[in-house]
Amino acid sequence: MKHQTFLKAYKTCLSLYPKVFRHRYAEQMYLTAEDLLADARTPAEVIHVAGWLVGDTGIGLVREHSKRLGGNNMGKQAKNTISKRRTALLVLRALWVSIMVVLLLMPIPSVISLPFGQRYVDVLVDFVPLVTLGLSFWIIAQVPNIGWWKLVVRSILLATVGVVGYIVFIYMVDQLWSFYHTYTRFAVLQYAYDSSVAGLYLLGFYVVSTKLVRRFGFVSKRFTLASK
Amino acid sequence: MVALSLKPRHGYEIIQQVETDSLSKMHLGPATLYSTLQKLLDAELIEELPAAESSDRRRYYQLTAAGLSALRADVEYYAHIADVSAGRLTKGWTQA
Repeated sequence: MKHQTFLKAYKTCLSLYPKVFRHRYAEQMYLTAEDLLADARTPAEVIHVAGWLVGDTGIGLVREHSKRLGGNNMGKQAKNTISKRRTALLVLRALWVSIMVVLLLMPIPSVISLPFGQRYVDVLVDFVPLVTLGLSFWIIAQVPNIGWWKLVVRSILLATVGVVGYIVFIYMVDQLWSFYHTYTRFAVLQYAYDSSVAGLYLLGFYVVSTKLVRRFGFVSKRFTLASK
Repeated sequence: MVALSLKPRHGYEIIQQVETDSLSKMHLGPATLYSTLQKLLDAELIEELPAAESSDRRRYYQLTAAGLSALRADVEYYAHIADVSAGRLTKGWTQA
């Protein structure tokens, strides 16, 4: 099959459409794009069609997401699910930003002299909001699909992976940096560095957990293209 | 809707038909096409045919009775506009 690279990229773009629209039309759009490309005879025509498809898809993405945000959804249930997820995310993101702002505004000595220590401040700042964000995605996504006890077990497992991974990651980073003696002597930079490293791990955890949810969770009915 | 007036068609056929009917002045992309089809489906002006048992994964769309009536009404309206415009061009804009 020709134009596979472009079609793969196009398929990825289609996955950015709102869920309901994607389930219903993504495969048909893909097939239509395949036909359009197959119909192009010269390389120049292929480039023209590909460029046109990219533009059309970009505009379509904005249009469909605008409709979704404007409440013009294709199903009440889907609307509720999206609404719940968005609310949870907004609350958690607001929480995370608030904590970050407070921490950043606090003088460093005050942060370090908090009764539970700097490492715990890192945990509080980075770990709790981000993992909670990932877990919330997971829980909200799973509720319609599985029973509560399975949900609890899976959530505990996910949280355990997050906690253990966090500890191991920080331990390894500490060892590595102690070994190379590259820790900065300035508390401000050290704190910023520690936070960013921890944040990096947690961002990864957040991304992976949400990807897992997308893969196995509430978008499990995502369109799949049968192999040709 | 005009593209669906003769027979049920799938997405690519609709794009081709629109291009032919518009003398290559209109080029629909898949995103525009399916967004429009969604609107027409919501308005029950077209309907999706049940999936065929063949290996063809394309979905076919056809006009409903309401869609056909709406199309007739639109065609009559545009025919009227075309008549009025042609008359004015013939007589001259100031006399019409």
